Amino acid sequence: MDIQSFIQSGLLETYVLGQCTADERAIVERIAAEQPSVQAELAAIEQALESYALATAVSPPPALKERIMDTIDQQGQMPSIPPPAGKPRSASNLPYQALALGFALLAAFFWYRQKEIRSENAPVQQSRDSLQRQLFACGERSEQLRQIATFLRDPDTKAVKMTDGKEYAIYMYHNVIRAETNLDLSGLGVPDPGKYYQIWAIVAGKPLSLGMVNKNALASWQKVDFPKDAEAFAISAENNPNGNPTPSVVIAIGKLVG
Amino acid sequence: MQDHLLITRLQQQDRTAVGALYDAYGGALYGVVLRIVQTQELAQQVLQDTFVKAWRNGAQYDTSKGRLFTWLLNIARNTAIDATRTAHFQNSRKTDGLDNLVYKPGNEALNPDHIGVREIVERLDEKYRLLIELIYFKGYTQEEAAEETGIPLGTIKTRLRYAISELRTVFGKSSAAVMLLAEALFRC
Repeated sequence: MDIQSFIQSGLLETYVLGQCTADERAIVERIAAEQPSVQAELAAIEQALESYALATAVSPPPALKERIMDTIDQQGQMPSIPPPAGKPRSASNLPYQALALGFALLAAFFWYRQKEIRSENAPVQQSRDSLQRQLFACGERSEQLRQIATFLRDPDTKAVKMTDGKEYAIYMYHNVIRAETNLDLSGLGVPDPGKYYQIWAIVAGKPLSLGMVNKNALASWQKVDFPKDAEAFAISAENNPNGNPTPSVVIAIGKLVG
Repeated sequence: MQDHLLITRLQQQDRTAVGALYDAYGGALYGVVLRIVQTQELAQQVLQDTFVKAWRNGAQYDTSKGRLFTWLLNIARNTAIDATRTAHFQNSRKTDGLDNLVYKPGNEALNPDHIGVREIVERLDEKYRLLIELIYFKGYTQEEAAEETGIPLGTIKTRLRYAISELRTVFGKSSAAVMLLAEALFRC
């Protein structure tokens, strides 16, 4: 079978969208197991749809996360309660001794089950401890990344796309309420040897240097001094590692809108 | 590209995995759920149920089934669709038209996040966005989508393939800080 035509047939999109018949699903899964190119194609389709979902995300209210974690905690701790045996009887017929015995049995059951749960949890607890040690080492970095996420989600953060109309698309994120400006370096490649990238804001029609690009910035994210009244942003390529007073060669520029 | 440590934690029903998943995907899933159930209160309930189900059934996910997000999305979508099947919901929905189906940036009721990648999404032609919304997010079959929109089934099939290839082009070339961040938040 010609793998390329299989990929072009549209069947893979149908599969990812959950629209296949059972037979079609079996075919796709069988071929995907044998052909890495088909696996890669499936992954790419899923990823594009995931990107779209992320791009159209809406923040839920902050309290919801805690509600979810609380619900999980409650469900994790409660042992399963056995259903009551036999049919319910009317109150006047209920023998109280049997009830007391029932409670005693239940209490004994819970106590026993608690001990069981603790010993079942021991290996889980060990792996949790080990993971927590690893996570602690990452804690600081996580916090920085969370701050970046908060900044990006702020409705007053405006994205300015700097481009040359051909190959570059570099985003500057500017927030006049927070007085904070950050550069997303991921659209920038490595400069030609002997060249250094410099960052600019255009204020009252004049270029204002915001410093040099720091290629070692964490998560390709660089904070720059907030330029008040910026109208546009640009990146230039300079011969001097410390930059120049005015841009030599502008490689990407974008206007602040809104 | 997927975080295997996170997946392992999910499979072990580690509660911190749920927190990490919520941080990474909560907004994406909430957006989808909102567009199906239409009201914030119900959407929050559905989102809560989704994450609880994901935690409970975490052991059932494995990477051979596809991406973790796809698995979560299916739980969210099915839970949302079930919620719309109650009689109460049906009655209140009768007057809704197709307008509510397309993600519309700037729609006050949805309160979308303002991040640069929205511009990328807006570049996609509305007729393609509509199909992705109906079929991928709301779970319509291609036949149901044809019926709903009045577009011939053959056209739906071709457009859908093209829509997805457009998405791949658009997201492939962008320097979407959010995608970078989603990844970076996983890896530590």
